[in-house]
Amino acid sequence: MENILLDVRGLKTYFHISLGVVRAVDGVNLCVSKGEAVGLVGESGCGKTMTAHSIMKLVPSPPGFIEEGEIWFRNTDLLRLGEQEMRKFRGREVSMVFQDPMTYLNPVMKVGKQIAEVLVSPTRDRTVIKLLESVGIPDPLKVADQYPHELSGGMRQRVLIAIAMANDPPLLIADEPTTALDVTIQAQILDLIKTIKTEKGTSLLLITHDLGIVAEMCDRVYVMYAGKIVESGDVFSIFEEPLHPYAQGLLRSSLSIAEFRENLETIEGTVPNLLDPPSGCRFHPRCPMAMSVCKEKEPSLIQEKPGHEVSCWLYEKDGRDRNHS
Amino acid sequence: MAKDGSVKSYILRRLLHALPLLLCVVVFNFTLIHMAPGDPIQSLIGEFPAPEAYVEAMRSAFGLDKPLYVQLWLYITNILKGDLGFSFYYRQPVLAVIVERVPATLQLMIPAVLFSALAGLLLGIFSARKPYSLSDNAISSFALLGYCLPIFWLGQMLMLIFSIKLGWLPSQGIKTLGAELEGFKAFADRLSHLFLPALALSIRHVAINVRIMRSSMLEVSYEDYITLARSKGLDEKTIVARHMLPNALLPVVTIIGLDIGFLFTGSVLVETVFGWPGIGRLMYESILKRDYPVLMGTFLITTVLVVLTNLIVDLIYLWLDPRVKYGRK
Repeated sequence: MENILLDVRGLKTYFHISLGVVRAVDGVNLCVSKGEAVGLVGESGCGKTMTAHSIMKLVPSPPGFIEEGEIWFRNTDLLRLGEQEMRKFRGREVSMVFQDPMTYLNPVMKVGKQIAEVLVSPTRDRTVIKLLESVGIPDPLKVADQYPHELSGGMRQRVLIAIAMANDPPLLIADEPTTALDVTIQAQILDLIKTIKTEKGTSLLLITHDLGIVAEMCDRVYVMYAGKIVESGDVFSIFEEPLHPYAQGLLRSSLSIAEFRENLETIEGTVPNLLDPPSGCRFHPRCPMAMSVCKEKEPSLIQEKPGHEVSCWLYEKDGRDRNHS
Repeated sequence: MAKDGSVKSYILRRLLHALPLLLCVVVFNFTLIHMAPGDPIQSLIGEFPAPEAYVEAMRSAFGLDKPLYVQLWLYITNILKGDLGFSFYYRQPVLAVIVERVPATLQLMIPAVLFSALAGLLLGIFSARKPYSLSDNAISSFALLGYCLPIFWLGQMLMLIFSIKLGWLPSQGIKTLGAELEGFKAFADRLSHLFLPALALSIRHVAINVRIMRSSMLEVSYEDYITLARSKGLDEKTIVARHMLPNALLPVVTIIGLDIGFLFTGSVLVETVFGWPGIGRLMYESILKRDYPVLMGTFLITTVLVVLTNLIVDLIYLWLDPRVKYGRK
């Protein structure tokens, strides 16, 4: 499709540590079309952030290595680019907003300078002030001359967004952009990202564990579990009828729905250790509907409905035949 | 900004805080030196059999017959008047004896500090660029060795190799005695004399700085703001120079400041080995001669210098790190 901006195919990012190989991202496929907002959801430690870092080729290496896959940005496979060519993509074609605004700004450098250094245009000073204005920072002249520690968390996140949007990149990756912020500030930052997206037509890959944010911001969503995509589809379809037991669990445990219930539902257990992931379907130890086949074989991603894919034995023909154990 | 005003009051407060510290150092040194075995009068007279009356006269002339606490009191009050005492051996005011030696010590220490800082930082940065590579391992091994070698042994070895075997550099003193040199030749002569002692004095500190700088650079390289810098598409050189270095320098500056005190210790050995006419050798000679006033004077001066350098380091910190603010809130 011509409309596709980012197409990740079979991405595998492994970390080689002394205890063995951590398969942080294990065969992820995802794509983002022009002007589309795509959510990537999952629990902490499921490989969302590493997927994003892999797209930017920012995986700390060693110990991390992108082992396999293709990352097509328009007509270029980013994984085939050398470091020098990749630099031209970062900040210009693909930008990233990070999770913790407190630690992502250089503490000993003035804010204005940190924005200016990413700009390609020659009229630097004017653009820095304009950028600060465009992300809703009051008194941009003053803020440009301040150090990060003099700003609040929300302001810093605005500065990080200004840095990411400095060169109007076609794709913005936002990695849990509001997790570290107060609830009221969260809404403001999400509004800002939304405004930028509609005004500039930027495509968005939004990484989050908050389904509420996905519902509000995204057109399509990928559900990730233990390094793999387990379900994908448009937001309505997934929220209305989640197919994978993990996605169902996530929705049930989401706070906005649970408010109306007496108890907050949880998914039992924790994300598996990616050094030694469970056999078969990686969710089977926590799955309320696990069957014997789930332990033995890995389900493939099948299209259950148009545009709605799931990787679960419940929906595979021969899987259902084998029945519950 | 009100920053300048608060810096001034900060300096003033720091200097005031230094006073009780200096008093403690004076009392401690005085007590320690006077409790040590040995008698200054005996060491002045030497083996020569002197009449008892003469010894007693000397003792009372220097005030050594008074009780210790009286001597201490007199010493402290004299210091407050700017009088560091009178040297038994040189027969001169202590201050004059020390002041005469200060230029030589500075001439040795300043190049040593600069060299150890510069070489340490550069090697540390280079080492951290490719951790555990051949060059990193080579530099780290050198640093370990440099840290372990005793200064007096290293000084003698350098002298043995470069002065005696190879004959490239002079082995003793601060300049060629008796030679009337001018202009560049005089400078070159001083430089050739400086080379070995400064090297012997700084190797250990180069080693320390390399290790600290390396680990500081590595630590900083994992910081989130370095990931941001990379995500901006900046090249490695810019990331190292603009983002890593200013942050990695902070702990190193502290260490370099602390090191200055240890450099004084080192200079006692180096100046003794290389016959360098500075405070270090004066200290060593005064111990041998039991020249208490001079010894206490050198201790006091070095303490003052260490306190001052630490203050300077803290002020450099203020300039390097915008998060640091001194002064009352």
